Amino acid sequence: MQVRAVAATVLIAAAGLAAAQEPYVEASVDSTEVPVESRFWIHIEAHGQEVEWPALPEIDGLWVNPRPNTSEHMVISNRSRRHIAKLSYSAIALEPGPITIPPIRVMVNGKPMYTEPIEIRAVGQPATSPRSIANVRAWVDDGHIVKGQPFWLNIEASGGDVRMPESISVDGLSIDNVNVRRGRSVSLGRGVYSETLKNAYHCTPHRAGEIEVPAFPVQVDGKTVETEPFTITVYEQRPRQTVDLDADANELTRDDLVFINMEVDKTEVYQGEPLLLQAQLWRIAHRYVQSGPIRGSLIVPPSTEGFYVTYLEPLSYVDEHKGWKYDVSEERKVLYPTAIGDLRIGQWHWEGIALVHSGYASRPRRLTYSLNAGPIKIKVKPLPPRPAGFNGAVGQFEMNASFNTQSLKQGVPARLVVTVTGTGNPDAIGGPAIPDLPWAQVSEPERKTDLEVSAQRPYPTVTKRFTYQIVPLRSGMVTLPEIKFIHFDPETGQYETQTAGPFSGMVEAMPGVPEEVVIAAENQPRLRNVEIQSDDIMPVARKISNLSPARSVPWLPAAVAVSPVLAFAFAAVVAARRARFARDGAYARSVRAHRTALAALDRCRDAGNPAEALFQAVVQYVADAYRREAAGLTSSDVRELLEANAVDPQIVDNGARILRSCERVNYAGQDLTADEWRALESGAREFIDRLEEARRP
Amino acid sequence: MSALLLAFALAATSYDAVFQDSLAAYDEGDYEHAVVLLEQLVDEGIVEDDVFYNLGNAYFRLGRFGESIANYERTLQLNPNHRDARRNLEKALAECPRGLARPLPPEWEQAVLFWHQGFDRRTSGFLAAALWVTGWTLLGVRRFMRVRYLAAAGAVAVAFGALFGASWYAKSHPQPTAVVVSEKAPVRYGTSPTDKVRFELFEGDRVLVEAADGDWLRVATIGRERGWAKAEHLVAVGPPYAGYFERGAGEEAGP
Repeated sequence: MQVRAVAATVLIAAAGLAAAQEPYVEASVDSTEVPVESRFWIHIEAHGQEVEWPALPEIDGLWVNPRPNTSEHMVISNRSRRHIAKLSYSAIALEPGPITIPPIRVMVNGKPMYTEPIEIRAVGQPATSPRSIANVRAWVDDGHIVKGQPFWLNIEASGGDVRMPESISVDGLSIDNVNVRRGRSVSLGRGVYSETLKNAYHCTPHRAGEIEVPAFPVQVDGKTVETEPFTITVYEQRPRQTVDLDADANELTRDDLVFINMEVDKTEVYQGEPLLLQAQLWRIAHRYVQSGPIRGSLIVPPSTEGFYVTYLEPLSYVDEHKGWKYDVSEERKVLYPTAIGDLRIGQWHWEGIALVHSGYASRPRRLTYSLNAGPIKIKVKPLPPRPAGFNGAVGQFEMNASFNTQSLKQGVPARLVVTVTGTGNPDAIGGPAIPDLPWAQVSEPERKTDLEVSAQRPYPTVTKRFTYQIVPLRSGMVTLPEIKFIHFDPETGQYETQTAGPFSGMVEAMPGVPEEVVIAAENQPRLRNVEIQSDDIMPVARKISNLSPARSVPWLPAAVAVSPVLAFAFAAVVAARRARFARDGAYARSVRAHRTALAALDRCRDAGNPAEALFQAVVQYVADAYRREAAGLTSSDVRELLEANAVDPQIVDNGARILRSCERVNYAGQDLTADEWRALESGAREFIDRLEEARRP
Repeated sequence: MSALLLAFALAATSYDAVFQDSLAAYDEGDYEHAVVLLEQLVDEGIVEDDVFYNLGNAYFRLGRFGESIANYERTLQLNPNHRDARRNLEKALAECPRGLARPLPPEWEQAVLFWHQGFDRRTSGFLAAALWVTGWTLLGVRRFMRVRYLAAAGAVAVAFGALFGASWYAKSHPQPTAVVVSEKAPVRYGTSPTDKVRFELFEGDRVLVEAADGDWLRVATIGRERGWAKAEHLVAVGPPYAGYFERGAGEEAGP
């Protein structure tokens, strides 16, 4: 079994290495007949290990988005591996008639390959106005522009490929075209890529009066689209005004010091349609006047019975009324009528005082206020008959859906994120129903709601994110059908359907997961008794004998790991020594002589004449070391030989003394005591060792 | 010495007898008793793929698919080529509501040891030792003999030895995984029963155990969902294998 596993591994590895599959490129379009000024896709698919994507050539009658969508993935099976790269360009036919997409050069595995040319036909007529396919606008932030005071001029455009103007100019305005605030957002809805660019230009008017802001050209999807021209009024700097209530009573009355205002943006709405309630407290901004509520003041906010309410952040700002500046505090609520018929926003009651200082010495005049605003009647119309799938969302919405992963794996949860963005009651936006999937288990969605409040828009933008966990239960090609989100658009008075998908993809098989694990949904309890049928589990194992508890030897792996390395190190040392013996003759001779001398010393004690034997061993060693004939050498000869070879005088003296002792014993014929013999032998050994040590480099 | 051998033989006979008893109980349909006997063997320190396989089958017959999956996983840990265990594991997963895929091994293992699925721990260890010793021996011999390609062969053998050594290490220290044995196991944001439920696991789901805090386990699914689950809902795959069934087995713990 193991041999087969090894072989299979080698085969798989070989197959992987030989993954230079046939290179291949192909171009395709969604349809060979496309409507003029409608977006369609040109797809280029290439198979190979390295793919260098082309820049599409200019194609007559066709605008092509230079920023394509790309996807790359690897398909691995038991026998092969394919690297697949896909490129999708969005394109728009500009004029009716035949269009030829020429062969496109793609570098695959370092070699150029060409797609087949494609003939398509654009049908229909172009729209008369270029504004029909794009959304561009220009506006200024400030409603009251004063000469010499800067303000922001904004240009915003949406489309597949948006190019803002390099610079703009307006007669009467100094515009900073360098430090431009730029913003970009991208969305992918219903398979269409869209981006929104916003440029904000810092402008300073240098003259008062009416200033004409011309149309600005913006390139959207290859066409020039212009913003609407408009006029701004620039005021001269306002002269400083003084307040004297007695003197200017005709101009500024008591009621002008503090007043309240409550208004809604519409009084006739559909059920669930948002409307904005603004409750403003205006207090004159002047150094002689102080105003506000005091302790005990009764303030009753407007009742909103029958409405679902979203509270927005209160605003504080300075505004103008009858040429006077006011501090305005504004409470804002978005109301969603929950019932039909005539509803009523109740009266807002505010109480407070104003203190008017007329001189340094006098006491301020105290004016008390008890103000009312409203009530406001709202007529709520019923929604038209509800279509199937409508779950209560009223407003204007966009829906996007995307998977969090490029690859699906069997048994591995993937997240499908459906995002609904727009204006409407966030709590009335239900998750789009995911169709029943025979190939996956789909969880209840996690919900997340974000509210974004912008001064540019009357209503907060709701972004509600539904995250479904989808667990593929089988491998292979699967499709998630189109997802629908139905909402009622009060502006058109109709139900509208947003769609996303369908999504198709390949589910990779995972080891240890059955080919298909499709089982009943979680809320359907399974029958737990096991039916023994022909498709039964495999039988139990019976051929087991000599069972014994597992024994582990903790030191064994370390020993197995370390011992070969140590053995190798030892072998390397031995081999190095052998190599030196072979290479360095003097060294070899020296080592051999040393070894022979020590062996001879060991034998001395058992010799017939130990002193003679010791003398011969030492002399033989010196003779071998310095390549001399040993025969006939005396202690004096040895001394001369050593001195001639510049040996340390102390070693020379020791050697000569030992040899002389041996000669004396030998010639005098006297025996040595055991201690004397031991000293002589030990001295001879030390002499040989020290001489050997001194001779080695 | 002979007494020791005799004791060993008697012990082996005793284990074999227990195993044979478990087979008899299984054949008679007394799966509860078969489970008890086989668990007894596991508690005695018997680590045999077929013992875990039979245990998986007995649990399967009892309808306890979580424990069954855990034992098939153990079998495949010990012998990845155990075809019957693989097939029965698929059947057990098919009996579970979802059957989450087994958590993937660490990234280094996926990158370096992508090839070692078919090897069991013993084979990896044996090949590692053999190649390691052979490689160093060849390198040592090369110090004394000039033989063409001997050094290269030694280096390759040492490299493969190291690779199989890594495989052996990975198989000896598998990721701590566990299998859900309750019908549903709520996974919470924290280790308190009042913490919000983050997601739910179902019987047979295999998860990675990242940490433990008292009787709570921090688990992660293959989809990298993380949270804390009560240990009573899970059974560890191991190793070690003994003692893990004491707390969860025998009772259908509810969420």
